[in-house]
Amino acid sequence: MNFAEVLVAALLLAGASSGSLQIWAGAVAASRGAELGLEQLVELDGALLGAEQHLQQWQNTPMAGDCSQAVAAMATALARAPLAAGLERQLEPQSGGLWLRLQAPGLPQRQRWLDAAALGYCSSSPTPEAGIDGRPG
Amino acid sequence: MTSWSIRQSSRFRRPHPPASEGFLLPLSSALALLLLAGSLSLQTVSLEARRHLQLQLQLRHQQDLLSSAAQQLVGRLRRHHPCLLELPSSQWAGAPCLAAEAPEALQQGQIGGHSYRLLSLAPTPAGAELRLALSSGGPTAAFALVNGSLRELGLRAEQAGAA
Repeated sequence: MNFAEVLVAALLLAGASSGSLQIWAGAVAASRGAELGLEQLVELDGALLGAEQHLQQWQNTPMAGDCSQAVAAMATALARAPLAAGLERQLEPQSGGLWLRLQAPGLPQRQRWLDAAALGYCSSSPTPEAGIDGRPG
Repeated sequence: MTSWSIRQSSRFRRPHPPASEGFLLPLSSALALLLLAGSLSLQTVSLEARRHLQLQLQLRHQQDLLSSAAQQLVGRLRRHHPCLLELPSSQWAGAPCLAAEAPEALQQGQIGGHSYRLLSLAPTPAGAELRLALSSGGPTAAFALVNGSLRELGLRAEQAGAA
């Protein structure tokens, strides 16, 4: 064993340890991020399901009047529905229904169209359907 | 003469290295390889976790689009052509509530900037069952209209064109 051998071995180990540590740190951070993302995704699933159940419990009979009144009432009911902490909710009423948009930090926004007639709250619309074909705003 | 040859052979003979010499480099190389292999395998696991998340996000996006499409389609039929919900989609042509519209036009639509089409609608004792697909491909989705409410039955990973 001479000094040169010890030096080369030490440098080799130090380089490998440093590189390995960086890869470990990156991998652990990525794994935790993915795990957190999946947890938030499940929370969003629950929030969407909860919103639909809330609507079903809120009213299960057709409402009087046209669909625009039903849409306004749906928006009011959904705005009062409970929402898990950390999630954001947006409601965009349009003709015939509304967009329910939910956002969790770090994840793409999820959105669902809730149609007043499909949910059984109305059966006639005074105006032709518009606004639901466009891309999400 | 003899003494000279002995002296000469001892001069050119290589001495045996000590047992402790030369083991450090192979040992450190093996350790370095082990460290790197371990960290790379961990990175592979984390990449797989991220890929799984991306797949789940894509699946949820398609699920949201198909659910929205089903809501839009059923809402449109209930508002303007309620009799079609009681007929199989293959028998829509000539239905009394169809008026002058072509049944094909009612079996497709746009939602959130994506096109979709109705693959089938079949009346059931409780209501109806419908299957939808996005024109961009991906899974198809089945929904049940039971007692006025729309329920998702699940996604199927089959090509829309095969249906």
